Amino acid sequence: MGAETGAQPGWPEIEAETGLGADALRAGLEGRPHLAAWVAGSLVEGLGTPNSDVDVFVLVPGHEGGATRVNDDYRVDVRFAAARRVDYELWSLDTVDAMAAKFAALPLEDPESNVCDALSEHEVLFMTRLHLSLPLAPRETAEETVRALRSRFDRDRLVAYLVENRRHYVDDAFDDAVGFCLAGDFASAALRARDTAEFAVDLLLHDRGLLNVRHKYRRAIFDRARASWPDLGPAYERYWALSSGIPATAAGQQDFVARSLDFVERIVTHVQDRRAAS
Amino acid sequence: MTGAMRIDAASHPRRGFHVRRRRVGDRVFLLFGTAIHPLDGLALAVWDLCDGRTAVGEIVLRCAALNPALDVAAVAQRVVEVLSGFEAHGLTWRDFTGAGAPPAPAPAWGAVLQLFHEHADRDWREGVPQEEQARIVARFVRILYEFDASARGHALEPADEQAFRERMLACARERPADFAAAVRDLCALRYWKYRRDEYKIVIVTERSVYSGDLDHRR
Repeated sequence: MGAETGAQPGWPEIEAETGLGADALRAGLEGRPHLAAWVAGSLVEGLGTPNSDVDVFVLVPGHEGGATRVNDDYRVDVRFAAARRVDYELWSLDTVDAMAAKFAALPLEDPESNVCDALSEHEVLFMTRLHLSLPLAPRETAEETVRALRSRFDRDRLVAYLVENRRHYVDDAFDDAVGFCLAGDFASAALRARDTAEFAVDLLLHDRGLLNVRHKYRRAIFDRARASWPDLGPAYERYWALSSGIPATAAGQQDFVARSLDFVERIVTHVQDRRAAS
Repeated sequence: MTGAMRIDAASHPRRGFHVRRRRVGDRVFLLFGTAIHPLDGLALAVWDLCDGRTAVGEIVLRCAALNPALDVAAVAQRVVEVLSGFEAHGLTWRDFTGAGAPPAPAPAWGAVLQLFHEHADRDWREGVPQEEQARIVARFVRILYEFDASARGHALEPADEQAFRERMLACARERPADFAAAVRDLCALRYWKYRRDEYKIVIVTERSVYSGDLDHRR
């Protein structure tokens, strides 16, 4: 499972693009105890550029051995091969078990609870990339091992979380934009309205089941989504029309805010009505 | 949300851009700041129709169609109450700049209409009341949108039309020199004219002639 929409690169395409095949990437695991490994990131999702690094996620029994960078949740061992940077992201079994338990306990769609940012950015990235990955190791059982791991982070539940989380972002940014209008600061209102529109597009794409909606891939991801769901065409065109510039005058900025927030409201209403109907 | 005030049946209520419409389970609310206003089914329908283009009279008719068990007079009374509530709670369009009026349509369309008018050397607005001028511009843009949607294989849909209008206005704002050509290329436009005696707008393209009522809902 690689790209969410459009062409899905496999090992032959990855090797042709990077000069690195599965065996070359497994070689980087030698000498490091591991339970599973999978390759993820822009190259696997068909979003890569000649500068993209290769991300290999590795489930390790514990944190023995050195690493280039140490984060709260995981360590990164940076290598270089075939003129590419290869990041081996090392996640311990304890960390992943705790993350799975936390994920299972999220109070989704509970009006009494707020799940905004209940998962860290790293945790979301881990889960997203687990689902959008090519299994790598163990060599003989990589598919089953990664499939079992994915089942601990149910994809539909992850989408539900991402939708709910983004809706909170939309609402916060919406209120900020209106607050700036009330304060008479229309330039800040317009900037925040633009953020609101971006979050609304994230929401729209998550609602269609897409896990990766990162802004740096907006053009490619939204293009593909529109090709898969033609009913997104109007939102796509309106988004680009809105992205084309903020006027210089207060009246123009207020108009920009109004158009942006109208765009946002149409998306939120569409998503909420669609989810209520299902 | 009650307490009726006088509402002009010909007015076109517009919801405020500063208000969020949110669904929680089966219930829908309007939110502005810390204020929360629950909506019943009819109030929700009214809110969704407050697009600045639909007259109160039409809102009543559409709500009546959604509530066949009620007579139209009762629906009209409820609609007026709901609109009064929106107004009283500051949920309808608000101009935060203090300039007084909602942003006017970009003047670019008026100039383009002049450029492609059958008699380009004569002011197309001459002898046409201002309100009728606005209807001509609105109808002209709508017809262009229909050409554009047809060319792109899109169904006619409000969000699509809004996107079209914004795209064209962005072009007028950022590439004014290209705007007339962009309009022309939408339908290979040659010229247009307004037959005031028949209340019709006629648009002549390289491939076809369109002739239609100025207000298609008349």
